[in-house]
This record gives sequence, structure tokens and C-alpha cells, in this order.
Amino acid sequence: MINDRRPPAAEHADAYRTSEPTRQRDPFAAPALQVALASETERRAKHQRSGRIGRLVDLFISAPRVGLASAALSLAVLLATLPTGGVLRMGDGGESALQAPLSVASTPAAGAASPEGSTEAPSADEKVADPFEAAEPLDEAGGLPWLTIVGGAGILFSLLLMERTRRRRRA
Amino acid sequence: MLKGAGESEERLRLLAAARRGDSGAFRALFTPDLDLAWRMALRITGEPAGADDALQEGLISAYRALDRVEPRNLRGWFVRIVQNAARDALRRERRRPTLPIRSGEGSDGSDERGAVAEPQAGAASDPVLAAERGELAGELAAALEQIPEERRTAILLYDVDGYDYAEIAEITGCSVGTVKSRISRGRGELRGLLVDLRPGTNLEGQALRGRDD
Repeated sequence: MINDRRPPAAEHADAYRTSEPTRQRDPFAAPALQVALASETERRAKHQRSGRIGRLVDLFISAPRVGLASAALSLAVLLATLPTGGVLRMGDGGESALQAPLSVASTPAAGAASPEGSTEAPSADEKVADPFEAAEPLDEAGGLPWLTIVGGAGILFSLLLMERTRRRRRA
Repeated sequence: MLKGAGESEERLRLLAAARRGDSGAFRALFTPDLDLAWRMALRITGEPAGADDALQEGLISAYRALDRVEPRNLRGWFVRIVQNAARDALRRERRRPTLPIRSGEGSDGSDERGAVAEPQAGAASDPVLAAERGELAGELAAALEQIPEERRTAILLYDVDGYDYAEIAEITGCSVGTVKSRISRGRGELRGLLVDLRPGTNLEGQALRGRDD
């Protein structure tokens, strides 16, 4: 100890401040940093030249993790419900045409499906739609179409979230 | 020194240019924060060379992540990147220990991580004053080593660097209330530690209170 007088504690801070080293080097003068920045700039330019796919990749890379997770979950829900399809109940008895779009829409017979109330005899075409009958019990349980809707809405919400984040970062 | 939350028009313009690949704009964007980031890294690595490396790595990481940053608190964002680089370097160093080159043993009670530099030119004109300052700085460094990093950081930013609560909140990415709490608790711990380092002295109620009282 140099002397016995009581130092005011601010002196500790002053002494620390004056004895702390200061930055001597300019980091931007370091060749390693210059090379790294140049290569990153080149990578970015290449990426921008890659067009739509590049922008899509950019969107996913810079997307918030929550948005990505939400989109993945929604997509999983949607894919789990779509192949089996479902019938959306619009009211007491009415049924909409919101049915398994993937398989129905791709079937030529689907376009010719008879509207409700048709009195025609069942044709062979209706057998194509048999798989939907298997889905009916689920539909009646009230789960399937709502899962589809939730999945779709989830994807929309996730995309909106990603876009909003992208715009906010660009603002 | 840039103050407060939100970024100036000039900084936003530089950010946009840097995102387009303008390295000059990138340099201008973070040059005002280099000293602060370097000091923060130094306080983690304990040696200037380590702080230099951390600053360089932090700049590279920041450049790569420019597209993802939200332009609200660029200074805090950049400082935290450099701090993380310094912590990573420290972890790597601990996994692969090397023999440190010491300029002198810590006779002032500071270990090698908490060591501060040799007294500088201003104090060198008075050897007694220089030695006394060195001793005080060493005491504070040794005491700071024993308190948690977030409290140490808050105290150093407030009492040594002179930032206000709002700026420290911006730099560290936490609320003003948290900053106040960390400073208050850290000072309480420092008081006890400094008294232990100087038995016979009474620092109660004095430790690092110069700015508030």
C-alpha cells in the first residue's frame, strides 16, 4: 500500500479509467477483415443475381424463427388434413364444395359432380369420390375441415409475419 | 456519442448502403462504436490483442448479418456481437490453454484477466501518483473480477465510461430498471470487496458513488 489515506471511491474509477488500455489498431486496416468483407460482398451480389429463387431463399434465411416454425407447423397440419379431404359445413344442412381440393380438383369427374339435390342415379363417377366418404366420420366429429382452415390460416399468418418483419427491417 | 433509442437518418442511410454492399458505408456506420465495442471486448478477454481479434470477428459477423438487423439499436446490436465474439474467443482459449506472456506479476492484487494497463503518460510524470493510481486501478479490477459479468459491465459503463442509464440499457439490451438494479447490487458487492482489499479503511457508503451523490 502506498499510503494510508482513505481514497474516495471515485478515485478507483478514475484510476481504472486512466490505466485502461485504449484501442490502437484500426480493424478496417486488417487484411483479413478486408478480404472477409470483399468475399461477403461478392457472395451477396451473386445471391442477388440469382433472381426469384435467390429472393425466396433470402426470405427464408432472414425470416424470423417463430414465423418459420409457425409456417412449418401449419403446413404439416394442412398436409395431414388435405389428402383425406373434408366437407365444410356451412349451415344446418348445406355443404360447400370445399372438399379435398388436391384430389377432387384433379379428377375430371369432379367438375361434373352432380349438384346437391340431383335426382340422378348414382353413376360410376361417384365411386371416384368414395374416399371422401371415409372422411365423413371425421367431419362429423367436427375436426377435419377446421384443421384445414387452421392450417391454411396459419400459413397465411406466418407469411404475413415474415413479410412484416422483412419490411420492418428494410424500413 | 450517439444517444437514445432509434437511429438517425444518416445512420439509416449508411445501413441501407452497407446492405447493398458498400463497405465504405459499413465502415462509417460502425466507426463511432468501435472504441466502446473494443473496451467491452477487452473487459472480457483481458488483453488488447484478444479485444482486437474480437472486434474484427464482430465486424465480419455484423456485415454478414446486416440484412437481419432491425434498425433500432445498431450500437447495442454491434456491441453484443463483439462481446459474443470475445466470449467465444475466451472459451476457445480455455479449452486450449496457452502460456500467457506477463509483463509483470500482479503485485497489486489483480490477476491476469483483471489486469489493467501500465499507468499512462500523464501519470508517468509523477511516479508516486502513477503508482498510487495503479494500485487503485488494480484493486478495483480485482474486486470487479469477483462480481457477475452483467453487474460488472453495468458498473464499468456507468462509473468508468460515464454513460447514463438509458444509454447503458441500449448498449446492454435490457431495461433501465434492470440497469439500475445491476448497478446498485454491483456497488453493494464492490463495497464489501474493496473493504476486504483494504483492511482498516472505511469505504462503506463511498464505493463508486461519485456520480450520484
